[in-house]
Amino acid sequence: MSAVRGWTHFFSGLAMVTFFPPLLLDLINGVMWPVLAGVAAYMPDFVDFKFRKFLWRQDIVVDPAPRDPRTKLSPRRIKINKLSEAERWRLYYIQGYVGRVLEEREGFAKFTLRDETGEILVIARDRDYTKLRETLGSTIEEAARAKRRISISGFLDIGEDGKPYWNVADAPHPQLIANKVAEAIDRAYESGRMVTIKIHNIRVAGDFYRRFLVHYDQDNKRIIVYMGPLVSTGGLPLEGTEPPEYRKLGVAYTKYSFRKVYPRPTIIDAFSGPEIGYVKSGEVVEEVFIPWHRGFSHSVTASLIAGVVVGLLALLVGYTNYLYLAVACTLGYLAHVLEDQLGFMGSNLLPPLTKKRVPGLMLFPTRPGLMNFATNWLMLALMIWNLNRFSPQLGVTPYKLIRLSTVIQSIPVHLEDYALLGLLIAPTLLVYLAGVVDRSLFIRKYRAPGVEEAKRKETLEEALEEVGGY
Amino acid sequence: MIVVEYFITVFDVILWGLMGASLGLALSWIPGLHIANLMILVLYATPLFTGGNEYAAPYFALGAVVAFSFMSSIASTYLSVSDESMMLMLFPSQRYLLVGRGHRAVLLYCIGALIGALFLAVFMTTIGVVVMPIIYNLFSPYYWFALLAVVLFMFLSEWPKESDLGRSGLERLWLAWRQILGGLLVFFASGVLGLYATYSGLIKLEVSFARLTPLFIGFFGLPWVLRNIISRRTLPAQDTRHVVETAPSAVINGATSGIIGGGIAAFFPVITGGMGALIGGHMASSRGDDAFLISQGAARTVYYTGALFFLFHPTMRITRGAVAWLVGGLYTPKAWIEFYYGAALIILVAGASLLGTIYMSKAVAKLLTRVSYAKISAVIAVFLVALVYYLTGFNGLILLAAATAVGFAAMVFNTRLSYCLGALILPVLLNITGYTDEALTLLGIR
Repeated sequence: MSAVRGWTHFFSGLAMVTFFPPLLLDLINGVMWPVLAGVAAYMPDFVDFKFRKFLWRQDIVVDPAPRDPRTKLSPRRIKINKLSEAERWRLYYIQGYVGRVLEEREGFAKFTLRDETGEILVIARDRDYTKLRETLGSTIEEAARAKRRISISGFLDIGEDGKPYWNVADAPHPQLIANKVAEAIDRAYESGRMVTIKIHNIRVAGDFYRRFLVHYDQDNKRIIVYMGPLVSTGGLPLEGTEPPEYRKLGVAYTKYSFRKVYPRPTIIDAFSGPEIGYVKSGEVVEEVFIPWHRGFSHSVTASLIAGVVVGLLALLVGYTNYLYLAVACTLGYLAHVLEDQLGFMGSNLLPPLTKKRVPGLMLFPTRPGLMNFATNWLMLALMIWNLNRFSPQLGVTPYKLIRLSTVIQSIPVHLEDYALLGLLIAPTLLVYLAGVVDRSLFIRKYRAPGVEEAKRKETLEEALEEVGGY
Repeated sequence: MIVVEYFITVFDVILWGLMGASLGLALSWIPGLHIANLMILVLYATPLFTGGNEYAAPYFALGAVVAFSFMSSIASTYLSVSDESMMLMLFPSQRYLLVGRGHRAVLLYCIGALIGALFLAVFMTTIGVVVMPIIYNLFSPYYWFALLAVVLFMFLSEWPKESDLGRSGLERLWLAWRQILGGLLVFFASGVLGLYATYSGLIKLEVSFARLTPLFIGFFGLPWVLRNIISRRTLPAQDTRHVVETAPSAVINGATSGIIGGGIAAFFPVITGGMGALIGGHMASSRGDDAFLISQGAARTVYYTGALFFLFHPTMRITRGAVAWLVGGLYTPKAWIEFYYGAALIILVAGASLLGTIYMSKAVAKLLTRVSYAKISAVIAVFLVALVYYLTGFNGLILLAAATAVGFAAMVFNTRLSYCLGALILPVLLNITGYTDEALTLLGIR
């Protein structure tokens, strides 16, 4: 994934403007066209996240816990006569009156629930039973005697006797997601085209999200989905919300081999659920995470087109410095593409010559935020350097405000600009260098031949810790 | 040789500073009541500041602003409770409140605010003395470029929250763009109100310094208070122990992000704390609720206090923010000692405000679980309306009603509330691009 945030890209475009004194002069005079360089630098993500994401074809949609249309929260109510095989393992709630209580003891209850459309067997076990009692404020027997209308969240499941029942739960069963991911992989192999699955996230009251994790067990052709605790949008787990063991895990087998390029499992919680593409490559199916992203929009080719388009538009509206603006926009756009290459995902750099994403440099994989900060600093440094050297030329100041030769007299005057540049960008270069070291350590740890299995286990354990409860 | 006389004493600084802090602590918990409104009220009602000791107003204001930076967390945490069905993403402080951890949110905020205050005082009196004038001279010709860039980035980076719920590609696209277009609508509607408040003569000339008060109370205060009344939500019991555990990385990350964001907002004109915080968060890759709350504390303190503190700098001559503009008319710094006294006062009042805010938080947390939330909100609503009427008369109430509708629209569209700052930004942008006359003619103002 990219280490570089949106502002950094935008800021890079603004920094490119400062290389051109005519554009700076326009800004001083209140002519604001050069701001388009910042817009151009942000454009690749704007195109992807504001258009392509929504228009991308979704072949399989998994909504493990449909939201109530009014409250926009999960679960939503389902009537008993609407429960069918298609709804199996999805989180809903049913509402009605307790009919017969077949069994109730500590940690277990079996009873029927009746609404205006039908009746269903309900089973509550382990912590789900305790939570149900807490919610009801009474035993099931007492609720039945009181003839109270009650709501019970959970999912439809099929018992060993082949009969459906309502399993009391506060999260969907992960088997649903595992099955759908496996289906997508098989369909991609059989159809020979990319199959995209959309997995919706699960938002519950209090603006909390149920976290779950999709793990690809390549050697055994298994998809394993772990259901985790509720987390805040910041990823902080809420204590005591992990599902009980019996409904924590979903496993599905695929018919065909598959490959996940990035070693970490896919974690889904806040904001929005991802789209994942699967495409046949040789004899295996490869995962393409958010396939609508980092395509043509993130290419060197697109950066040239962006510059030409902005230049022509500026020419049409009569902007005198349209050529400088076009170059600044191209450089800003290109900076975005190159900055994204610092991360792992990479981009399709030279379409139509290249068809797939070219993997990124993966600098500083353990501290991606530091790469982002260092890149911001680099852009700020370039701005300061340019503004300082151009200020006298633009009439902003009668002399350069920063003159190293007055502080360090051994620096020749004609080299002091370059010395200043070196000094300003040194922190960024040091962080990038540390990023290279961190990358090699990371690769040694996760990618050395013969440690594939250990690597996968370790990354899975790490991710499970993130999911919580393991 | 020019001899500059100055008569400032430590006694003046402490006396006026602590008086200001007392006012800030006493009133800043009221939602929508920006410290600039309080200062307007004080300067409007108290001739003492205009006719007496010339150091009264600046140090009083500095004390009040530092206290406001801390105490306003009470309003944002406890008095703007939200509903998950109305907003697709709650603020961490609102979420903490709904799970009984409102006090914890305030403590995290205060950690950030304290770091922000210490950083500001130390940085400005050491490295800042050398660096800030250079930065100022390099970047000051490009202020409006920076403002336009930040506004554009706000719109470009709007994160569509509802789009996933669409069944077809076009429906998803519409849901996403409905929010973005809603943001634009809020921005321009606020901008139009800003133009009316500034140019129409609706607000009398003698109280023109308070012309934006009805708008800001309408955008940021009243909608929340009214929502509290409408939703009739009850709060769970709050954990009021003075204990907060968080990762050191969250403190470092949050404080860095807040200081960057607050610094940008304090330095560049018209760019506000919310806009600065957005950039600071992106630059420091801030993630997580704890880091967010800490960054909010640091950003607000550095922004509000830093903007006013520039006024005390004897050589830079920068006036930033509404409070500095108010006080700037009464005070011009003459010596460095005034600047250093200001820095010391920031630290002193930050310490006092920390204690005041923590105990206020505890008291409010207990009160809100006992007294009807709707009733408290109703009393606050009446106070805010009365304040607007007192300062700006009946016409101010018309602006207040319109601004409240715009504030509500921001909530309905699930868009950033900071787009309401169009009231400030749009008139400035029109001005610098030379289109003010056309806009006023179009609106029938001129």
